[in-house]
Parts: sequence; C-alpha cells; structure tokens
Amino acid sequence: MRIPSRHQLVALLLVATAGLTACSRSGSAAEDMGPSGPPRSGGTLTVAADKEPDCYDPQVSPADVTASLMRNVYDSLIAQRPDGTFAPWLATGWKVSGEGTVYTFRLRRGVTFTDGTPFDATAVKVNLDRIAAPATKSEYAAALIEPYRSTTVVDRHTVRIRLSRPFAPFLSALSTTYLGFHSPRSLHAAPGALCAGGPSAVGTGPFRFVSHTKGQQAEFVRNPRYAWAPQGAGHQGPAYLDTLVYRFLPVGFVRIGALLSGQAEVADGVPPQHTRTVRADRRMRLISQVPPGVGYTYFLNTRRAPFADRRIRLAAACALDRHTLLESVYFGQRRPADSVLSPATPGHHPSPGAERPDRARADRLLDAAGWHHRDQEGYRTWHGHRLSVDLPFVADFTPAEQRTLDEGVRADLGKVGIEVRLIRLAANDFLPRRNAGRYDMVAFRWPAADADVLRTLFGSGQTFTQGGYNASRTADRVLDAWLWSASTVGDRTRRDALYARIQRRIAAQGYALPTAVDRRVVGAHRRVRGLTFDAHAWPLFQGVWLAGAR
Amino acid sequence: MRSGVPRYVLRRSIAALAVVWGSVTVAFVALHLIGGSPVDAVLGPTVSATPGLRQQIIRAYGFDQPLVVQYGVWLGKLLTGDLGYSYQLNEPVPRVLADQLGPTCQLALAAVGVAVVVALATALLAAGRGRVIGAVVSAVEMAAVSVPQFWFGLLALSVVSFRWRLLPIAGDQGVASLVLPAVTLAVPVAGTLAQVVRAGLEEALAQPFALTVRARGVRESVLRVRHALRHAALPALNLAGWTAGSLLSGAVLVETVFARPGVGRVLITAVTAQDTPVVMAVVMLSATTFTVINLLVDLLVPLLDPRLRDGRATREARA
Repeated sequence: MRIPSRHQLVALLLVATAGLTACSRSGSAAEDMGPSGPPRSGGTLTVAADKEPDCYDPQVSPADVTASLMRNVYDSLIAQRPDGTFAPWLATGWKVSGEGTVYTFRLRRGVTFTDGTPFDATAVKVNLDRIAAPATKSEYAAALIEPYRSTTVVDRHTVRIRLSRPFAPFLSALSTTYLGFHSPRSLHAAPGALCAGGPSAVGTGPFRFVSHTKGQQAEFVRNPRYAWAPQGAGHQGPAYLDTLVYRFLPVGFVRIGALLSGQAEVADGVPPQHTRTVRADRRMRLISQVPPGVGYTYFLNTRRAPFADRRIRLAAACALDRHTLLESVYFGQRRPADSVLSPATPGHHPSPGAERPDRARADRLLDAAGWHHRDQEGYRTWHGHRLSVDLPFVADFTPAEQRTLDEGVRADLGKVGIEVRLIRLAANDFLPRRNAGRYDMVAFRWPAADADVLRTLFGSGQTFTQGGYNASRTADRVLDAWLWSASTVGDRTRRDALYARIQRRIAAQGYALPTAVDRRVVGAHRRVRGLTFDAHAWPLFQGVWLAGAR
Repeated sequence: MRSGVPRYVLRRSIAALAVVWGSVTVAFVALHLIGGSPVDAVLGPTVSATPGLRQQIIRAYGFDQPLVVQYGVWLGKLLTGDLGYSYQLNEPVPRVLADQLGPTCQLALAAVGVAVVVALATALLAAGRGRVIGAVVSAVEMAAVSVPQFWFGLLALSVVSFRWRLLPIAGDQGVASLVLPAVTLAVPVAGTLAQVVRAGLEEALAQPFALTVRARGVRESVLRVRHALRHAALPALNLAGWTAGSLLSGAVLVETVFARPGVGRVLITAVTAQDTPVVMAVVMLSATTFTVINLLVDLLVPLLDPRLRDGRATREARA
C-alpha cells in the first residue's frame, strides 16, 4: 500500500486546484447578490464534512463532530449566546437557589419528540440520570455536569436539579449538544443502539435522522412540527430545507472539488491552502467563526527537567515567532493567540506582546538558568547535557497544518538553543507515555464554551490518569484556588476577574504556549442563505434556505 | 477421477480452515504484542478517563483476564458465530461489516471486470505486433502498474468529476458513482494482467502448434482467441490470489479518496484505532476469501489444461 507524502499531496493539490479555479471562474456570477425575497422552503442541502462521528450519541461520545452534527436532532434546555449569557430554549425560564446548588427550570409546553413522545419533566430527568449513570460510560457529558446529584419532577413542566456543590459552568454545560435530550422511548427501547445513529436517534430538534451509511453519508429530513428554536433565533418554525445530507469527504481537496463542482452546497473545514480558490469563485463565499475554548496549544511538562524550570519555559515562550509561523502555515488567515483562551470564550483576557519573539530575553533567561554553553550544533548545554525536549505526537491524529506548526516551533526554539525532538508514535505507544507524563511538550486543542475548561487543563487534580487533561502537569496551589472559586462563583463579573488573573498567571508561569486563534472556516455557495453559527461555532441549519432555482 | 474431486475439495477445505485459524491467531497475537492498553482503544484516540470508567471498561470487556483466557473466550465465541462488539463504534461487528461488504464486493468485481477486459484487449491486440508497438504497450503497462492510486484517483476526480462534471464524486449511488473508483482500482491490476497475458500469448504464438493452426488456414483472430489465449490464461489465473490482495489494499485508498463505504475504509480506521474485534473480523474475512479463491483456481486450472488433470489424479492416488 502506498500513501503519498504530505508534500507530494500538497503539491498535487495546488496544481489541481489551479485548474479548478480557472474553470470555475467561467461560471455565472450573477446568481444572486441582491435581495432575493423572503426565505423559501424546500430543497436538499449537501454538506461536505471532513470528519465522520464514530458514535452518534452525544451523551456518550466526547467528539466535537458528534455534537456539531447532532445539533440538528437534539435540542437543549437553554442556548448560550456569544456574550456568555443564556437564552430560553426548551426551558422558558429558570432560577438558581440554595447558594448555586439548586436549579429550577420551567419547561416549554407543547414540545414533542419526533416519535410523538411529549417533552416533559420526566424526559429531562430520564436523560440527566442516564448521563450520570456509570453504566452509560459517558466520556464527556458526565464530566460536564460532574457535581450532578439528582433531578426532581416538580410537576409536568417543572424540574428541579440538585448539584453537590455550586457549579458556575452548569448552564453552559446544559447548552451543549452533549446534554441534549433523547426521546425517553428510544432510551427505554435500545440505549445501546443510539451510538449507531440513524432512525433510532430521536430528539426534539429541527431535523430527523433518517439514514446513515457508514463511510459515506448521514441524511436528515425536516421535522415539520418544529416550533421551538432558541429565543432570539432568526427563524422559529420548522427548517426550510426538506433534506440535509452530510457527505463524509476526509480529503480536503475532494471537499473543495465537491463544493466548486456543485456536488455540495457547503464545505466544512476548508483547509488554509484552499481558501483562496473558494474566495476567487464568485459563486462562493467563506463564512468563519472563532470557536471558544483552547486553540492549538503546546503544554510544557512542569514536572520534568528542563521545563520544570520556569525560566526555560519562559524562554521557550519568548522564542516563539507566532507572526511568521502563522503566516507560513495559515497564509495569514489566523491571528496569533494572545491568551490560552480563545477570544470567543467568555472570560478571555489578552496578555500583550505575545506576537513578536524576544530572543534577547530568551537568551538571558537561558543563560541565567545555567545553560550558557553551546555545542557544535548550536544547542545549549549544561555539564555536557544538551538542552533538548521531547514532543511526542500521533501522526494519524495530527492534521497537516499542525505538523507544520510543530516543525516551526522546533525551528524557533532551535534559534535560542533549545532542541525540540519530534517523536512520532503510534496511538498505543503514545497514550501510556502521555498518561505517565513521559514527555516535555504535548500539543492539542480543546474547544469548550466555558472558561472552566482551564480547570480541566491546569487543575492539579486533573491529571490524565484521573480523567482530566492537565498536560502541563501543574500542581499550582494558587491557580487551583482561583480555578476552584471561578467554578463556584455565580457572578459573571467576579468570575471574569478571576479568569483574568488565572490567564495572567498561566502566561507568567509559562505553563503553556498558545499558537493561533482557531477559526472554523466553512465554504458555501451563495445560494445558501441564513447559515449561522452558535456560541460553540457549530453551524446551525434550522434557519438555512436555498435561494433561486438551480 | 470424478470421485476424487469431492474428497479433494473436502481436504482442501480443512486445510483452508487451518489457514484461516492460523491467520486470525497470528493477528490476535500481533495486535496484543504492539502494546498499549485496549482500554484506550475503547475510549478513543485521545480521551482520558477517570479510574472508575477505566475499571468499568476493563471489567465489561474482560481485559483483566490473562491473554490465553481472552484468546480462548474470543475463539469460543467465534465458533458460535459471535464476532463481538466493535470498541470504537459500539456495535456488533457483523452489523459494522454488513453494510460495508456489498459496496466493496461491487467495487472489486467491477474493477476485476474492467481489468480483465482491458488486459485481454491489450494483450490480444498487441501481442506479437512488432517491436515498436510492443515497446509502447509495455511502457503503458509499466506506467499502469507503477502509478500511485491515490494520485490517479485525485486526478481522475478533478478532471472527470470536478471539471467536466460527468460523474459524481462517489459514494455508493448507482453505476455512475462506481465508474471512477473501479477504474482507479483496476489500473495496476490491468497493467500486471496485461503484461502476463501478453507474454503468455507471445510465447504460445511462437509454439509449433500455432504454425500448424495457421497452416490449416484458420484466421489469426481465431488462433489468438481460441487457441493461444488458453495457454496464456493459465499464468493469469494463478495471479488470482495476488489480484484479490491488491484489490483489498487498493480499496483502502480508493474508498478514502472517493468517500465510498467499504471494508477497506473500515479496516484502516479499525487498525488506527486498535479496534481489535473489527480488525480480526476483516483478517478472517480476507483469509477466507484468499483460500476460497485459491481453491477455485486449483479446481479451474485442470479444466483449462488437460495435462494437469492426470497430475492431480496421481497425487490423489498417492495420498
């Protein structure tokens, strides 16, 4: 079996797309830039999607793609707005009492699942209890509502949820698809079958999941009775589209080809090297949104030499030339990250001066740490040991842009005399090594709509073996205390102030090297109207309609 | 000799079972030797889990048992037809594969069809037509054998599907969507088959019997198709096992590029994610396919070549 190298592939794609651009320019550009009347119902929209879910049950699967795709099927109690506040959805109102441990939700009346089962207080209880039950083996949803204790059915349209402690991220968690609602009937019939997707997945959402061919596509049809979009959504009633089809096209070039040749109306995950092709085509447009959470970030292992030394971590941070790096990897389409949190996260606090490198300061820091000798290759040494750090990665799970970023980081750190060794591993070798902390750096991204994600990433109790993602292996009592208060304080202003201190401390201690502000880039035909993103940067199709006849 | 055939088939079937058993056992051992925790495979690529969840998975899947016990349990279930549950997809393995077998068989058969037609046509037309034509055809065959399928597939897509918009990208949507993937998959097979058949034909045409046939006044085309091709078909038929192998490995790439459902795509995902039950099932499936194909070839060859009929009869007699 022969698989071409990334370079060959990229070269080929560039050549091939040049041809595509040339031909697609000739297409009619006059289709519809002007006003085109009110939204019209009907039609099929095909989305060329880059990833295919392994499991379609968001209460079980932690995958972002599952949450994004199943947003079409499952509604939540509330919706998060981009500013971090919440809008009524399946719940018309709520109040918090008991010092933040008791949440009472009034449920919307007249909501039904697509199998006819009414959505009521019992449905909420059955779902939340199922997520928390160990037998469900939930890999993310249960962690999102970790202090969940119980749900009481107060009456048919009122539920009271009790937590074991005050938990500020609770509302944000409830707004995700991970805490969407299955029909109690489908949960009762065959909870194990929900992972497989298809008609067994029954929600209250704007679409029904009608069929699924693994390795090819997932097909959804309109739920004609839908009338309960989140408050403030542009369109409240049933979806305009008759049918929504996700075609799984893992190769970026094929996705773009499908879009430009009219075989798909929307292409998700437009690779940076293809954005120009899409933009050059006047029938197409690019829509993008910054997702909240933590973008692609290098976490420095603080419990292993040399990054146990704060000066060396800071030197690495000073050595990074984000501007140049991103210019070459993303062709200037990504801004340098100014904090470990993305600017789309409520509570984001920028720390200035992260864009340009400060090699002089890096040199001073490294000299002060005792690494002032250099060997023949220019790397710093100390008593004959070279200053080198290991960055293990799994090639199968590292997209091309990230591999290029890794190479760039290696080059930048090399300039101040730190050797980065990129160690390519198979997943089965990587995970035990990661879980045991045998690395100096690891890199990943972690989308999340609440700043509490920082507790999962930097809390001392959140090691990999404990089910957390504290990749820097920080055991910082000050940070722990702040993270804990920030997760319990209900008041937004006080939370934001705490998260500002937390982000400043993470930067000052050099626990992590953020790189770019992530961006979800979607290419769409101009006929596609009303495509928006929610606060998680998941595209929403309920309000989408197709203008003009083909 | 007639009564020998069923016995022969029975003996070969038992041997085939041994081959299948051997290959799944090797696969089982190999998958466990490469290390890593099967719990991580169940959890998924980068998920970390609480100790409680890990324990629960270990108990549910019996990972705490010694390997020999796990093997025994697995083999016992296999004998009762239970292929287990996919770690990644949380579905019974037969259900994972059921939808995928059809598209792969379609693709493989279509590719074989294309390859055989192209190879036979090339060989029949080009064999023994002089040095220039021979060199050109040989170069084309070499190119077909060596072109990377990934590249060829993308090129075919970008020209035929994206530029000319003649055919859909793929998926499993009727005959039109089968054309590009089948042609892509057929290219290297057609190249090899054409080489082999052409060489066989040229050799046969140089034999004295060809001269005799020509002397009887038989037309050249009849000589080639009815007489010489029979000689040339034997080495090609013996390549059937190799063909099946290259179709399966090619399917992995072709199914990815053309976004077709299929066993190849399932296999690559399963191997990457260490989804042992699925990998084992695919290994078993391919081992069975190989042995069945080889058995069929061994039964077919004597029909084509009378000389081998006695040979097998003698072997039978000796046994």
